[in-house]
Amino acid sequence: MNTVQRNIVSGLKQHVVYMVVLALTLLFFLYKGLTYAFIGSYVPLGFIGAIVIFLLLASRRSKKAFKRMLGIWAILLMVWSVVRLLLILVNLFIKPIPESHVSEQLDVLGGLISVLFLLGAIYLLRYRKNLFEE
Amino acid sequence: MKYIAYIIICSLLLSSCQQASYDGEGMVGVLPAQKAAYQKAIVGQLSGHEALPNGLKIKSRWSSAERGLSKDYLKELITTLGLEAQEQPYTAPNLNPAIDLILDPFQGTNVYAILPATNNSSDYIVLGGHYDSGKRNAPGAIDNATGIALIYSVAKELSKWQHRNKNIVIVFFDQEEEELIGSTAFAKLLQEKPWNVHSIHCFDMVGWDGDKDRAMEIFSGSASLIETYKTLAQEQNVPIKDIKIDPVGYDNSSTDFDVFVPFGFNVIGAGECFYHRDSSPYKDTPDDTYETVDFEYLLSCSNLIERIIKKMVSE
Repeated sequence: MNTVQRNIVSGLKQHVVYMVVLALTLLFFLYKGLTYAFIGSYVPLGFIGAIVIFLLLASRRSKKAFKRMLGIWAILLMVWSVVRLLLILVNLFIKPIPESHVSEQLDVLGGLISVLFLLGAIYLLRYRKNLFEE
Repeated sequence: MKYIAYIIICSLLLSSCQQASYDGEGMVGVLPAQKAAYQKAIVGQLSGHEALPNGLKIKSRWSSAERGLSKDYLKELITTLGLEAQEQPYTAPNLNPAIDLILDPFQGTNVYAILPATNNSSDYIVLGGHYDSGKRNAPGAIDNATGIALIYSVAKELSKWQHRNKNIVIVFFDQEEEELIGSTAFAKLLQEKPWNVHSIHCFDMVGWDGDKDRAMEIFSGSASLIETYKTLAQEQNVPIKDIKIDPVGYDNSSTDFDVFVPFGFNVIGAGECFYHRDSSPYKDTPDDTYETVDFEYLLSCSNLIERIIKKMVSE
């Protein structure tokens, strides 16, 4: 672990809520990735693997790079949440999706999960600067 | 923001509370002894025309809850044959890998049972049909409660036959209407089993005969299977409309039959004349009801298939 990484870890330890939100979002996609990898689909695992690798590489480089990568992760989470919310709006209020496998995931519960992730993404984006405040 | 998150988390916890699942007893009841009558009972129960003995109704087999109820019903239906019902739960990725990022995988359950040969045989004949229905609120009487009733009647009659040189597997596939997910999972299961699969017979929609010609439609890449069906159909004065398909590079995805072809199985699909334009106009609609089923046609097809399978099993 180099000096930059030690500072990042220290910053995360001082901002426990941020660390928990970041960890939960990463773990959610890691779980998804492993679940899909087990049944032969590797796109989700590849996606989260790339995110984790870029986060690690950025953490070795500089605080600025790590902050930028956190911002990218937050934006990707927002895109994911918004796409799901749009599909849920269509499914619930415009035209129900005929496939039950899709329709049942894009329901009120799916909407709540998506809103939760959207809020988490906004939080990660907004408060990432706080990690490195002196 | 903090309070909004707390409210959402509490809502998630409350909505994740599961309802107790039904234990499956008392779903089929005592079926009539006569073939035509029990076929009507099965189609009636699966399409919500009749309530189950426990008071529940299977109004549709579209949602995961409805398919779960249907699965329990089918397991109990199988036990009325004196067979052990088995489940094949499966998980499958979405058809487009990008969708895997947005949604959870497919999850479903095939239900199957084995009517053993009367001697020590490693040969298997598979009779399969899907049990889900195509759209929300679709009772799925013709598509495909009729296929299930046909398979059940063939198995029931063959269970009385004492010269079975082959084992018979009856299987009810889940999620056919969502791109053949269940049958794909079952095809993979067959590959893992040390079974010598003689042939696979898939039945999808066996309840419409608008022109009253009693014709069945069959499609296969196997000339021998087509010939067997045609010969026995001729003896019973049942017209056969056949479609010979080329298995090499076969890439259709309209019914369960299609998934077995690329795996190299000897497979035939049979049912009402879908491709010859004499098929239920109510497929995948709330109007696919018990009242639209031509039960005489279903019985005629069932009798033919029973003869065909009996011949194959005796060889």
